[in-house]
Amino acid sequence: MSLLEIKDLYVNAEEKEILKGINLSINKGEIHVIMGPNGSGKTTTANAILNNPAYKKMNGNIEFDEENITNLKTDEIARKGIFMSFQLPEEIPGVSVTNFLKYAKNKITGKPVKIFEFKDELKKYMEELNMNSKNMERSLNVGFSGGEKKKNEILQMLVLNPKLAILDETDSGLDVDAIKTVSKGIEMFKNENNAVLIITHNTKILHSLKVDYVHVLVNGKIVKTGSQELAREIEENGYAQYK
Amino acid sequence: MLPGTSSVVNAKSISKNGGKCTYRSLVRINENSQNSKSSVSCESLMLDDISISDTIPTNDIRTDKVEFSHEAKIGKISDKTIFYLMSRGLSEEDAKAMIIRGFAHPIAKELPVEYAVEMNNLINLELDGAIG
Repeated sequence: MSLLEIKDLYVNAEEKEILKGINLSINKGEIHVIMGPNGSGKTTTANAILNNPAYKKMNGNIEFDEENITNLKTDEIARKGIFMSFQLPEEIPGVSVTNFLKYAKNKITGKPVKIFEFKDELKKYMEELNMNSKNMERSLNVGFSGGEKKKNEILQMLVLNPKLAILDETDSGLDVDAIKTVSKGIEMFKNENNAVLIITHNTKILHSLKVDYVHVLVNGKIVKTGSQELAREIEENGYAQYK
Repeated sequence: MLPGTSSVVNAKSISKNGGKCTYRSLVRINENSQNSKSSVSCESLMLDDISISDTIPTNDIRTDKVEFSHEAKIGKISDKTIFYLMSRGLSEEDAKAMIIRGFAHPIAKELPVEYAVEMNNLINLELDGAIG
């Protein structure tokens, strides 16, 4: 059954047409990758799914779990079970990682969070992701290194446990070890009832992660869909042939 | 200030609905206040485009043998930050309240707990209805 269904999506950002008719279908249990050169509309796709008001949908619709979510507010979409890992996570001074996640988890699940259970869970995930447990009490993303921010996004994904996780350039700017940690986080998260959409412009993360579909996005359109092989081919030949 | 003493000024202001915050301060270190230390920091947070915040610090330092620092920061709640928090399931109001509580946290944690609770309630109350 299809978890996410994007039909003929056109999106403008600042009056400029960025997405020009995207179609995408993601089923439960699948890992999809959208690859494309800079400026092809990858981040726009992620933002459009979560209905960021800065991106205007001109046409098309998005269904999630057989429900039309095209015009829902971002927080409503998040509560339906879509998570997005940000390319540049925002800094929130004065709000600790623990408090933030406790609050967010409460909003997402609609249930009170059991504090001891929650802290144990957090500790376990942080160990798996090679994160310093002192970060739990630090202000969210404030003074975090690039790698720490990205790991923190993966931590949030594990804690909030969405049905669909969209990872926007989560692998960019990471060293080899950090990429492995991120892949490990994705593997820990992944099961047959959820799905992952990875958005990236390089193929590094695909060395340590098995994916089901690779889509090539060029100039606002998906020009080719294939298997992991397609990523390897792009690694060798670049995007030039699709332009 | 007396010789060898220290002082800290940490001011934070929040303005909304066209509110105007003005911060004025005077730190004077006299000739005889050698080896003293002082730091001044003022931060303002504006919740909309029509609010105003002015920072007018006066630092009157009359000796070289001091450690003195001053910083001022002015911030607005950005749409990007709100989108980030909303993508984690917080409503727009929740997101704004969280940012403001975080901003006030360094002050709130110095307060006796009864006052800190009052301050949090006040922030939530002030936000109610302010955001349509």
